[in-house]
Amino acid sequence: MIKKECQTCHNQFTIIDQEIDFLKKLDFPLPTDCPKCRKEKREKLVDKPFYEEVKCDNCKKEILIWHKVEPNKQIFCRECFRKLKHEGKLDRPQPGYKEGIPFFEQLKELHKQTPIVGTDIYQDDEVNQKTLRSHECSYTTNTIDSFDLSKCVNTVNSQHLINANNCVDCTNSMATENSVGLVSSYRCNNCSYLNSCFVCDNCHYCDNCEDCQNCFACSGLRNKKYYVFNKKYSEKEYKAKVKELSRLPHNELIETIKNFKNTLPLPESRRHQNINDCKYTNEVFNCNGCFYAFESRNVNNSGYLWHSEAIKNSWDITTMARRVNDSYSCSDMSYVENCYFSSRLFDSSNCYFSHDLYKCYNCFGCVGNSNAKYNILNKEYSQEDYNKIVAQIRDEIGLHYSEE
Amino acid sequence: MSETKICIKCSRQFEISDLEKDIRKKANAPLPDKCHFCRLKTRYNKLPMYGFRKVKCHYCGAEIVTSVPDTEGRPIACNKCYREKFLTEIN
Repeated sequence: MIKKECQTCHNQFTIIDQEIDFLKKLDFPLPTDCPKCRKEKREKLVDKPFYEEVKCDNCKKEILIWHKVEPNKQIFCRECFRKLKHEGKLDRPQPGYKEGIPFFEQLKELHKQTPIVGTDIYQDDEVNQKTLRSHECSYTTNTIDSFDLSKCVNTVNSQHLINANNCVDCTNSMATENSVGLVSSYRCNNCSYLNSCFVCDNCHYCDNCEDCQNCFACSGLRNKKYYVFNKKYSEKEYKAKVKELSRLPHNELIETIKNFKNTLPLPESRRHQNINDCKYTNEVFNCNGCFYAFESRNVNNSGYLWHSEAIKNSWDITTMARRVNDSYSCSDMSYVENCYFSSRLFDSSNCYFSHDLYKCYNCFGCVGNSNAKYNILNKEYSQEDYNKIVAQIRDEIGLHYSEE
Repeated sequence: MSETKICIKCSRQFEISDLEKDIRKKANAPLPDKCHFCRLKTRYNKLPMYGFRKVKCHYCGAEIVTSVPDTEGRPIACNKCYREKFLTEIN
């Protein structure tokens, strides 16, 4: 175990033995920042709930972008980008590595010159479906202000949903139906204003409940029916009671529920299932030997994870990472192996300092490439040259393990 | 018809679309009085924060490390006490 001071926030942090072993194996230097600052840095590379309407540089159609960009950057809609690329008119820089100039300056210049693709705003298309401001969606209908959805119907102001149905104001929900105002809830039907609940039916204003049906303003119940304010009623009484409470103005109702719940304790950590040998975790399922993980599933021997699924032997992974093996300091990627300091990769392996890659192998400092092999700063090299230059760059930027 | 309202929190104008009204009607939920950014923020404040703080257990007083945000304003129990005392009591 090594103790260090964070370069950014000047707080002390510890690097545990597991992490040191991992870095030693890869010949990477020890981190200079604490886990929190590292996470913030990675999050800057990921799309956040932010949108700005801009115009496509080619067809002047209105599109959305998900992060702030510099004023002179080229932005295209998806159609124009594809068309220009097919016609060979797209001006994409392929500078390659030049000796004498620092590597990170060259990478910054490449980032500046590469055009980005905005998301289309779908409005009233043929089937009378309206999807506004969606992101990474699939089969959605009538969706507004949304993010990372799949198979949604009629969703408003939502986030990371899967299989949702008629949802309003949802955050982090999975397989929900007819639900309103959920926070971090899973598999709930006909529910409203739940927080951290699991497999509930017809429940309202509850938190930390599991396998409940017909409950109203309860906390911490397991497998119960017809409860109001944590008290049992018969079916008839329950219906009368709920009717009476529902007549109150919404704000008053929320205030009464808040006053009732004020003395009830919350658990130290939420739902843990099938975990082994894990330290400092919250909302993790099926995990083995993981450290400092949040909202993660099926993780083995990894640490500092947020929102990730099926990760193996990786450290410092953030947001929407899926099926990642042996990687370090990455965010927003799926089906990836041996990738380091990169973001937004798909189906790639052996990539360093890259962004927006699709089906790439052995890329070093590339931006917006697809189907590329042995590329450095978007220029293709032979395998021998690639290995030689990569070793040279690693020496230059000091990418080697050292105890200091 | 879609409706414009003024957010009670940030006093920005926001629109409630027909669609949102329909869904809310179906779910028997009242129309929102906050704009979607403020709503997003209130929901995000309820999520566990991605960091930890030290608190004392409500029952046994032991020092525990939790990621429950302090905006909730409720006492926090360690996992053991929560399971053995609170849950067994009310269930």
